[in-house]
Amino acid sequence: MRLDLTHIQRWIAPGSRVLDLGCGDGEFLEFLRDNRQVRGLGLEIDHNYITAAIARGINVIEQDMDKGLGNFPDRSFDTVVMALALQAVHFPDRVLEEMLRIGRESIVTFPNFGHWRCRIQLGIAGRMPRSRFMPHTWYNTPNIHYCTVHDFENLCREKGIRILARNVVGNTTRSPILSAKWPNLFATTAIYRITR
Amino acid sequence: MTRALDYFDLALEYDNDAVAAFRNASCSFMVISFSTDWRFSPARSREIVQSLIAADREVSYAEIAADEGHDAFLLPIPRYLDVFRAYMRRVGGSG
Repeated sequence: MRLDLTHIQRWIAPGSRVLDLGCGDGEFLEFLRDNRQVRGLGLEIDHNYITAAIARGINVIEQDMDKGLGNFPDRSFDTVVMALALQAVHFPDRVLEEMLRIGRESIVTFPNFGHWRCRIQLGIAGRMPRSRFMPHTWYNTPNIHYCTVHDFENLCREKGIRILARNVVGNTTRSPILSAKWPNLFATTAIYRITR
Repeated sequence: MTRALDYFDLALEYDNDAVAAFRNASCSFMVISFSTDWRFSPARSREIVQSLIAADREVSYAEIAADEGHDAFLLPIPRYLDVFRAYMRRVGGSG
């Protein structure tokens, strides 16, 4: 399982109801169902992913979260998850607001644009950063709203969003101390558990 | 038969509340709509899905792009077949 998802699953209570925005092929919800008895629902727009999720017994709704989530009632889920999709939506701030309306709490992960490799690529080489986590070139990337650890925490402050926990995934497992101490410089992926 | 379809109102006996109507359902749902179906439009299907989510029922939803209008559900549109097959295998327990 993807590293950020391994971190997330510890924050999901057994038997809870989970909404996964951008659920992909449903692998994560399947894991939660089989290991946490979670009742999950996924949102996805990719046709192949939707079919794959249905095939593995995961409930999935074809819906573009950028066009609103008004069809989900307030507090209808325990946890709303959005893994590595924040940077790909048109209105990240609105999606965050909606997540916190729909769920008691939310979990968000995103690639950290403040990572030192990104800074070197942009600051010294003068090129838009690319990495294993951000493999696209500037003209064909689905990622249109990059942010850093600092940027995200600023947005939370502005919006009165409470950060319950933060976890970071470093470049490799060899530098967990660095990424824990200086997340904005050493975290490749940032993971937040937030609530209102 | 068509008249029965026309006059069918899911929520009639539940104070016009589709959520209340669905709350008694014990099955899971697969809702499929076709983009050009004017008779059962995607908007109506999305309302059904919304009610099912609010009623905490199991539901999946796919919206198939098709030019054939209401008759699309009779035609072998590849994505429609894929989704339908995936769901039926799951219901049948053989996939």
